Amino acid sequence: MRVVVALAAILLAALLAATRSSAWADEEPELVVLPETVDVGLDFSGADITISGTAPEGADVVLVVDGPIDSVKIRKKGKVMGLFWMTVEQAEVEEMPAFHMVLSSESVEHLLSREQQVRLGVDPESSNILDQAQAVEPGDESALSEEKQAEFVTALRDMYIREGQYTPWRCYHEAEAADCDAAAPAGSIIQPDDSGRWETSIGLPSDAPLGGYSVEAHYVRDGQVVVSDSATFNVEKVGMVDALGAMAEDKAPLYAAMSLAIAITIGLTIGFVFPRRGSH
Amino acid sequence: MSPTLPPTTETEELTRDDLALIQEGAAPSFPAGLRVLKPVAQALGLGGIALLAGAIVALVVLAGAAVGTIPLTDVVTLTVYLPVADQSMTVVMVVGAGFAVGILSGMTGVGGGFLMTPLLMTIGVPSAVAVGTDSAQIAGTGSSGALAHSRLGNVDVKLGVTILVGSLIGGTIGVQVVRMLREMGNFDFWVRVVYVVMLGSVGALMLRESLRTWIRSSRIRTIQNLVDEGFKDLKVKLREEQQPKQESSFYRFVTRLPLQTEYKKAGMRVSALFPCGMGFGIGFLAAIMGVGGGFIMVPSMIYLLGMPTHMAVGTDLFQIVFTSTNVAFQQAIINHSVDILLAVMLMVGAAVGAQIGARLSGRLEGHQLRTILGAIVVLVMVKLLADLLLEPSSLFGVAPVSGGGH
Repeated sequence: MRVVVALAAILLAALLAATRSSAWADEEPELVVLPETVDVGLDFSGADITISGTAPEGADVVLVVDGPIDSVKIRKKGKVMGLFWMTVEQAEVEEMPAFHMVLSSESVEHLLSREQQVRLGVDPESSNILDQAQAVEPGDESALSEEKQAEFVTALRDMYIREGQYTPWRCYHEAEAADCDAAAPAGSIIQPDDSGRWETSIGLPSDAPLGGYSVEAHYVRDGQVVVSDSATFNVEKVGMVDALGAMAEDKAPLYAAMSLAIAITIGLTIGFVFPRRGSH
Repeated sequence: MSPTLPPTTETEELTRDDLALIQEGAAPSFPAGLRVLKPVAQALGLGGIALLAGAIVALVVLAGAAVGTIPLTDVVTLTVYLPVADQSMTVVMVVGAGFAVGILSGMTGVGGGFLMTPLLMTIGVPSAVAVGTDSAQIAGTGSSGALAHSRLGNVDVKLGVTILVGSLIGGTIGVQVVRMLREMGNFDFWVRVVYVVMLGSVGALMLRESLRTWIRSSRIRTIQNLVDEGFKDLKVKLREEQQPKQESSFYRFVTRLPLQTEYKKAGMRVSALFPCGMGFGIGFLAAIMGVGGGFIMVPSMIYLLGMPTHMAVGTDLFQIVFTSTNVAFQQAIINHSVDILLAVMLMVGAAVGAQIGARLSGRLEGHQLRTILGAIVVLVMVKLLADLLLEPSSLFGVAPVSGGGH
């Protein structure tokens, strides 16, 4: 008897949940990002983010995903003494997102004017990102010359493109830059169905930058943005990765002592399990 | 004919058995005519064991996959996110690296830190993390050996402490140098330069030494044959060949330095400055290269200081544990470059590898082991040298801003 009641209750709950979620989807065709939090745990090796939404009738969609603003040190190698390749210059690039992905249902060059592209931050050159980013001297944070700034920032963008952290625009993807015809990304294209619903996914690499990501969907009709929608998701360390990483950074002496205690304990245990044979 | 025989000397008391012991490569069990084939047979035997071990592992995994208990692709592609290196790596690759170095260290008796660091850099671990993590791993691995040797009474604590005085200072300075080089953006470069120089000279010395052994043993064999054929006056020559003269000019220099100290257990009297100075160098290298330094220290103690081998190994392990602990501790605090998860995986791989290596080593002779080790050392050096000389695929590279974190 009790089992039957329990089963009925579960069924009812499931039914309610199902109707509710479908009703929800009907009423608010908003931008949905799943998962909202990407857990970087011991088993993390990259993740797929699924983004879905509904385009107004006859509108195309332009989707921009931006990663957290990050500071990185970039190094340039050069030939020294005509023989060795070593770092000859370095700079710290600030105010530049380490992730920037643009997807659309139609080539952005067909959808939007150049000004519009730049305003929305979806132009293949990523010019607004290049403008916003600053390259400074790593030591004293003093600004570098215009050319140096441009060189380092552009190099960083190209590197992000190569490593899959920026949209692989054909013209800026080194391998194909030579025969660059259109600016269409080599990646996936969003395809809305008849009712305007669309779903796409972006892959986060295993070394994805940690922090808050923003997702913006712009719906475009006749070269104009009709409506925009936004959402966010987070990439954060969890569990042991978080605990050890934070400890190594913030409580370094404790982490050092613990690490050595672990290493020596394991070493002694191994020595105990496999008695040595005179070698070291 | 008989009156022309030379007077009897004590060399005549040498028996063929003694000679067989001295002559490496003359194991009596192997049919004489087929001696040429011996290395081939040994290589086959070694390869066979390795293949057999591999086949058994593969069989177990495949059987598991067939039953569905072990998803094969999952095992091979299983990754682990390293919390300090901040990157995801394939478990098989990391444990495999430990295993490979373990086999070699079990076979040859060297610690293998000088192979582990380059191997880690090759599979994509940042240089600084490779170096720092390796020190932690060496502290762990060395501790059981040091304990065992000290129980056997193979540690001259006084000498060990003298070395430590130097190595703790050297290690501390080394860690600061690592920090400075990282800030300058050229640690990757300099760690390779130091490796190329060290491995190049050690490898060359080892190859020269093993070449000499090959030549000497074949010369002894030739003389022995002549003696057997009746050239009895060559026996003195034979005795000379079997006991090459020790170079002693260096020893004489050391004995003239101040602070002469008696190290009773090691059975020598030497200036304390010498072991202390050597310790400084080893500590510095431990920080820059992530090595224990046994491959330099042990031969130095045996050949330069004339210590007994077991005492040299025991005392070296004693100092390695403390030197590496000091270096790893400081690397973790100053450079945040010790990844304990990586260290543990390497230790597990190395422990298993060392067992197999130790069993394999019985099938090889001393000079063959030295030849193998020398060849590997030279190969690693060539790989690192290529990194320095070949144009990189990309001129630009990134590094996280130190201290900033994510």
